[in-house]
Parts: sequence; structure tokens; C-alpha cells
Amino acid sequence: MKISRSVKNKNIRNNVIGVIVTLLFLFPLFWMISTSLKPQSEAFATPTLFPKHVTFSAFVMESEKGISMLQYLFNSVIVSFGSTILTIILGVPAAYGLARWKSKLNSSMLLVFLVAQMMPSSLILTPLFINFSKLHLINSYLGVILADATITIPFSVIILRTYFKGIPESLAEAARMDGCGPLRTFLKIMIPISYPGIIVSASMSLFMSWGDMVFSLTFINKEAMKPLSLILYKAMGELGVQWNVLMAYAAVVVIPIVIVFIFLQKYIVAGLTAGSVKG
Amino acid sequence: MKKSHQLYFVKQKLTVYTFVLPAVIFMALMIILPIGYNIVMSFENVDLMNFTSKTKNFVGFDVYKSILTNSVFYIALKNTLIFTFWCLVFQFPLGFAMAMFYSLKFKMAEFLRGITVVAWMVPMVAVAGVFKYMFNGDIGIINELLVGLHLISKPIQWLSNGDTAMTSIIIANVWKGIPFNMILLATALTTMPTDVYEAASIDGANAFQRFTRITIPLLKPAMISVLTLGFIYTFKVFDLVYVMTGGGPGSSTEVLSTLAYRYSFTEYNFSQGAAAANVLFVLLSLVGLIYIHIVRKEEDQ
Repeated sequence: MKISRSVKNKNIRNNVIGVIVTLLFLFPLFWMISTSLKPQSEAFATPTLFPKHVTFSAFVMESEKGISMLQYLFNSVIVSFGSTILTIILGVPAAYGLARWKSKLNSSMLLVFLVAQMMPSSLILTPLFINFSKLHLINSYLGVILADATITIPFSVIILRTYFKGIPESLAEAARMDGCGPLRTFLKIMIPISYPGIIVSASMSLFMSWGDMVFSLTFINKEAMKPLSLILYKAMGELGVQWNVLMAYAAVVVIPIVIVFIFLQKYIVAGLTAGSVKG
Repeated sequence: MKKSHQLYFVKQKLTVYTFVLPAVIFMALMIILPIGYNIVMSFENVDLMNFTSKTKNFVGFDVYKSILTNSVFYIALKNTLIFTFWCLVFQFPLGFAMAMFYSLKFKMAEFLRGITVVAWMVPMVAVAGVFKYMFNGDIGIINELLVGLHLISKPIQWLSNGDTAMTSIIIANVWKGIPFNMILLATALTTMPTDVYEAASIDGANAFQRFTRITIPLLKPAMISVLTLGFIYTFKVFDLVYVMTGGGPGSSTEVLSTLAYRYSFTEYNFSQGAAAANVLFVLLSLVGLIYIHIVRKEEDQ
């Protein structure tokens, strides 16, 4: 009796500690949202935890260049969905091929993806800028989409490869016995059963390209084509102390990711850990 | 029968390569070729005036000489190392501690661990923006809190002061790094055999002994993975520094990636930018080799 009570107390104590730690840890996100809902005067005054007057005025403000937040949002959507679609089209078959077949060539191809994953973006910025200038891809969505894909494709291939490796060979073998060709096996069997992995890599690709700043900073200078993430940075220099508006921009960058993450949390956490620890 | 069997495998092999090749071609065009171009450029004299024309001069090691004799390079190198070191020193043990705590299996553990991971998903530019606001010298919440608790007597200009700017950036990065460390180590913890712990307890090992004698040795592979990946992600930091301080004040928070960016896109000296990025990549590769080795080893098992 005594033991079970102490276990119960411990359980309560852990829950309380856990909640406090989590609240403290996530404070920056709370603070961002709280500030974004404050009027200008409040954001500038001595800070209060919650807004005294909740207002959405920070969200509807146009930039000084007369472009609405919706346009920036649209740009972010185009770029992030573009590179995610590209990543899935190129990355899923590649991951499957690398997982199913062991050969020297395959292992050196895997090396390319591993190197790409640890490569700093600054390494390819200068040559891409010069090549994109020649190909007229500066100030185009396509340029940023292609550049974002240099990060999202290796990431997805590495995660999905682990996923495909977890599927028993006997399944492909059985399909073969039934007269299923490799392509049909892939499309009809492998893709449907590996959809949790595909969800993970698609959502991570979406998050990564949605949050990218450096590529759009380098390849886009036309105001109407800039994505939200870049506007958030640019606004910090231009708006100065209008922190409620800046935090509204930050919130619009962060909240869609948080929402998608909460829905897919189980898949994402499992998929990420498999991919990153085991490579 | 045998022939059709062989045919099937040849066909499958071809199919497999057609699966992989499109992505590899993309990588070749978008990554391998640019890296090659970067190397070529670093031995030439490419700037805003001549980058579209064909008249570039081979200058040997002049570009490397010019960046390596500039003291800002060593400042950036030192800052990059300091940044990486302190980030790992804090984010790894804190992430580890949280992973251990949430492995206690209390009712809300899984839920709380899950929402903590959200911080890892927040784009770097937004992390930088929020922390820039919190560290603001005039209206930042951090000064407000420290003054309120009488820990400091007057507000600190965190980001416009050379000594504190680096500290602020490190704190922001640690915030994002903790969930990354936590979740990878937590997964490794769940695979630990519980019977070993029970046997050790019966033999009279206390919690500390169980931790140092069982947990640490068993977790070693995961710990090395996490530290290596953490090093790679931290060492190539760009967005965070660029947004929070732009490398300033002075060069006090300049890191190798922001230096490379400044050479290429502020001074438009593309050759210097390429050379600085190459140096960054070579340094990163030294640790990257460990990562690739780990992946390859897993592969053989």
C-alpha cells in the first residue's frame, strides 16, 4: 500500500515537473504569439505576459512596399510545395532503388546524398548564383525550388531508404512470383505500405523549404516574389521596433508548421529518428 | 525457366538504376558540378565585373593567400569553433537529461516530449527573430526579467555588445538544438534492455552506477551519432547569425559561413567567397567523415 502511494506521488511529481519544464521551454513561441496579438503601443511598452487588448492588426498590415501578407504567403506556398513535389518525384524512387539493391555503384551514389546532407548551403551559393544568372533563374520561383531541393532531396532519400530497408524482401519476392514487374511492385506494393515514411519526408521537405531564407535571400530580389521567411528577415531591418508586426510575420511562418507537425507528430518523430540515427 | 529468371534480374537491375538515376543526375547538376565550379573559381579572379564573361585569369593560390592572411578569417574560424563548442556543451547534456526524464514513463511523458520537438521544427529565421526580440536591449523580456529579479542593475545591450552577442546566439541555437538531441537519444533509450537494469539493481547497483556503467556504454553509438550530426549542423550555422547580428558588432560574431556570404554577396568578390566556403567545407568534412563512417558501419551489419 505504502509503495503504490509513493509511486503515485512520484508520478504526480514527474507530471508537474514535466509541465513546468515544457512551459518554460516553449515560452519563446508563446511570447511570439502573445506579442503578435498586441497593439503597437503595448508591444513597445513594458511587456505584459498576455496582451491587454487582443488585436489582429499586426497580421493585416501591408508591407511598406504595398504588398500584402497574402502575396508573401502565396510565394512561400509555391516555393515549398514546388520543392516538395520535386523531392517526392525524385527522392522516393531513388531511396527505394538504394534500399533494394546492394552494389558498388549504389554505395557511391549513397555517398553523394550523405555528403550533400552535411554540405553547408554557402558552398553552393556562389556557383548557383552565377549559373542562375546565366540561365535567367534569378528572380524566378524555379530557381529557389531547385535550390531548396538540394537540401530536401538528400534528407528525404536518407530517411526513406531506411524505411524501405525495413520492408521484408519476401514481400517483393512474393510479388515477383505473382508476375509483378519491378515497377509495378514499387507502385502497387511498396509505395502504399511505406506511406508513413513518405508523409515524413514530404512534411519535412515542406517545413525546410517553407523556412528557407538563404536561397531566397540570394536568388530573389523582386519584392512581390519574396517568401514570408525572407520578409521576416527583411522586415527586421525595415520596421525596426514594430515588434508586434515582426512577431506576426514570425507567427505566420511558424504556425502552419506547428499545426502540420501536431497532426503528423507520431509519424514524424518515428521517421526522423530512424533516418538520422541509422543514416 | 532459368533464362526468364535471369532476364527478370537484369530487368530489375535496370529498373533500379532508372529509379536512382534521376535524383543522382539532379544532385550532380545542382551540387557536384557547383562544388567543382567553386574549386575552379577559387583559383581565378571572378567578381561582379567579369562573372558572366569568359575572361577570367588563373591566379593560383592568390585568393587563398588573400583570405588566409586577413585576420578576419581567423576571427571567423575562432568564432565558429567557440559557437559550435558551447552549443554542443549545453544542448547535448540538456537534451540527454530531458530524454532520461521523459523515459520515466509517467502519464504525460510522451505528450510533453512530443510538443517539445516542435521547437526543432521552427525555421531558423523565426528562431532568430524571436530571440532577437527577447534579447533586445530596450524592450526585451530577458532584460526585463533579469532586472526584475535584481540579477542585473541596468539593461544589457545583448546584441550590440561584442561579448554578449555571441552568448545570445549560442542560447538561441541551444534552444533549437535541445529537442534534436533529446529525441534522438530518447529513441536510443527505448531500445535499451530492461532486464540488464533489473539485474544490476538486484546486485545492488545504485542509480548513478546504473547510469555510468550501463546507460552510457550502451548508448555510446547513439551519442556519437548525435554529437557528430550536432557538430555538422552547428558548424555550418548561417541563418541564425546572419539574422540576429549579421556577424557584428564588428566581427565579434562573424562565422565562416557568414564571412563567405559577405565576400560573395556584399563585396561581390565571388572568388574569395568560393575560397572561404571551400575552407569551411574541408573543415566540416573532417567531422563528416566520422558520420559517413558510422552510416557505412551500420550498413555492413
